[in-house]
Amino acid sequence: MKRIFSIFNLSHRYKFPIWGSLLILLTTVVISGALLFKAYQDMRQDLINSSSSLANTLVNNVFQPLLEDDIWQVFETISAPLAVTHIQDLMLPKNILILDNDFKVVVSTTPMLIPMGTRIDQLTPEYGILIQRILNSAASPLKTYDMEDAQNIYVAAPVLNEGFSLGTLIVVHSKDVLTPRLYRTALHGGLVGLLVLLILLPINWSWGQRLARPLVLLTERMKMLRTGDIDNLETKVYPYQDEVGQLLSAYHQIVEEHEKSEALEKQIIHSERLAAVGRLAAGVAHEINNPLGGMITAIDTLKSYGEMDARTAKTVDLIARGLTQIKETVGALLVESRVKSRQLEPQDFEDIRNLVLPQARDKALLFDWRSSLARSLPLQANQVRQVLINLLLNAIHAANQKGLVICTVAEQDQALRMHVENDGAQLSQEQLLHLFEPFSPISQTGHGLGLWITYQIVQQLGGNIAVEQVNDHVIFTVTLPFEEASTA
Amino acid sequence: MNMSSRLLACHLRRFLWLCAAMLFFGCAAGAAPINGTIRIGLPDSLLHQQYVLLSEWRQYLTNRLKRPVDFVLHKKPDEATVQLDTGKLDFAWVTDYPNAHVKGRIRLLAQPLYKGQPFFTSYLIVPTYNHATSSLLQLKGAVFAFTDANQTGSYLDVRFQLLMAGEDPDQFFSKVVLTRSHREVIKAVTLGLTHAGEVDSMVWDLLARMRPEQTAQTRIVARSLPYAAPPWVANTHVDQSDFDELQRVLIGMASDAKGAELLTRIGIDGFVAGAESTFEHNIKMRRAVGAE
Repeated sequence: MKRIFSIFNLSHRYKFPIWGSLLILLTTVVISGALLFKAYQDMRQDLINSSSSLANTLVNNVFQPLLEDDIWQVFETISAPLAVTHIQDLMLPKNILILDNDFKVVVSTTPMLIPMGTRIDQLTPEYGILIQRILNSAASPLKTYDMEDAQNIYVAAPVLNEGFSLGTLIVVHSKDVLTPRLYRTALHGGLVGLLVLLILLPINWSWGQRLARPLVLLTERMKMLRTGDIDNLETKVYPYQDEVGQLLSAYHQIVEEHEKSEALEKQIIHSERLAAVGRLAAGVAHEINNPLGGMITAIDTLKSYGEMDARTAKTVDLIARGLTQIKETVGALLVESRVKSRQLEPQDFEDIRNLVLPQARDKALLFDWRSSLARSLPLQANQVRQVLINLLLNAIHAANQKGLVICTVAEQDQALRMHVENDGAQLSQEQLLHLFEPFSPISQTGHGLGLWITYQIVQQLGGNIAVEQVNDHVIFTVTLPFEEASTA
Repeated sequence: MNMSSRLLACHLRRFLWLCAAMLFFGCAAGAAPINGTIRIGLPDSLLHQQYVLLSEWRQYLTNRLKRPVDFVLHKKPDEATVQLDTGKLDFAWVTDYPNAHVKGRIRLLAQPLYKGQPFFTSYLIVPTYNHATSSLLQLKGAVFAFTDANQTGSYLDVRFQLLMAGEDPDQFFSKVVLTRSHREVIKAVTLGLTHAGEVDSMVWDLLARMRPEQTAQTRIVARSLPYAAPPWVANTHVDQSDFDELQRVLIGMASDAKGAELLTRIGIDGFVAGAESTFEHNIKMRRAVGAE
């Protein structure tokens, strides 16, 4: 049972061909069997026909000798068809016998087995049945009667002339003579069947494999979907639009949607983490800022009014500088974009360009500037400037010597879109993941807060910042929607 | 279809037999040896379709007599007698001599010698698997094979023996099968068609020598008393010179090589001039069974 079950668990790659092969085998066997059965029936009918004709001929030939009681002549006549010849495949009768009207054996071709004078009831019961049938159909115009049992076929003919009966002639055929013929027919049929199988089975196997291939492929891809190792299916594998084709295209859709949702999920997680980090940083900064303010004021007061020896003054200076540094750092963490500033003017971009141009020149960069703005936009000018300056300085810093930096600024769908592109070193997956976090490890020169601040500002302005790497270029894209109050 | 071919073979055999018979029959029947052809009737029961042998014998006689000889092979013993009676035959080897019906129209020509004597015996044979039978009288109710119902030779001998033993020859056997040839008697016994048979010793001995496998399946139970060998007879219309000539040639067969070879193949030693005295026992038997 278990073994059978394991057969059902087999891959379609094998199941299709196996079932197909079984079906072909079954068909071949059934057809061969039917043909063989037909052949047997035909052979049997042939036997009965030729036997009937023999019986009729013999009846004509033995009538006269029987009438004269010339037993030897009768014996010779009925023995002649049984003589062994060189002809193979000859369906010789096993025995021929003649009964008189009292159903006693007049003579048989096997006198040792069926001697003269044997009564019919001393023979096998089949003879009795045969005789009964002949008696029952005495009025019938039939010349011969046939009957068969497990081993023999009997054909009987009355020894009759002008209605005068001398008895009955019975030709007995052993069915064994059919067997070698049947065997030869079976062998012949078997060889042809084998040839057909030899042709059909490989075709079936290849067809089964073909049919199973997209299914198998699909199954493998499904497994990959679970492990996250997704790869697009080769559409060439199955170019037809039948059920399998539709299944494959449905699978494609699922994969695409899966990919999209996964990307979205990742992005959400990333954003949430950044937001949490932002809140934490802002909270810490606020908590530090208040006592820090007091401390700096106290130090200033001490420095202004206190009389200190040189050593103390030096120490106080040291503390004052440290506190100032803390204040700057904390201040940087406290990105405050809610402060209202003026609207963004096209001139602002010219200013930015002029600001960063010297640094671009230092690295001999090709600095491609594409700005199509012609009007002032409802956006906070200071914050936008800070964002763009940060991104440009980063880009210039990251770009190769004599490299390329492209800046595109455009108004699109009630939003400002800014692209900053450089040809510098590519960012790793790990780097991309932590790109917008404070104290980013990417930064080699600054404190690593540049992109963090940029991100915070963009977030606070309700915009979106994304990074992508296309053709060895790192591209930052910032989208900032126009403020509604202003547009309204 | 196969059956038809079997039957065809059967018919073919008969046809060949007929052709052979025609060959020996020769030209159309006439009254006397007008054109010099001597017509001789021969019994198939003794010679059993040995056509090559007959052909050679005919040629031998033709050469010796310097005259054409025709052989007519008779399947039934009385065919020869009838043809002698109607004058269609000049000479014949008859198996039913002395037949009172034609006795006045024929003359005894010669008798075959078997073991140096003009007498034959007959053998009572049974199949070898029959170990029980040791005498004819044990075969009461049996199926019995004879060559023919001739009131001479083996048939006569058996009937005579039965009569002497106080049995009714007509009731003793349950069934009598007549095979028309001594060889066929042996075959009938071998095949088990009959329980026993009576066969001329000449034929059995010849067959035992030439085809031992055919006699190996039979056992000789008893040998009969010698009775006169079937003689050659001449029609009364035959000239004395022709009579003498054929008698001389037949008797001389044993003394030349070809003749001796033919005699061996026929199964006899030679011929002697026929003597009525040899038939005394036959006549006695015939009288006993009421045939004469």
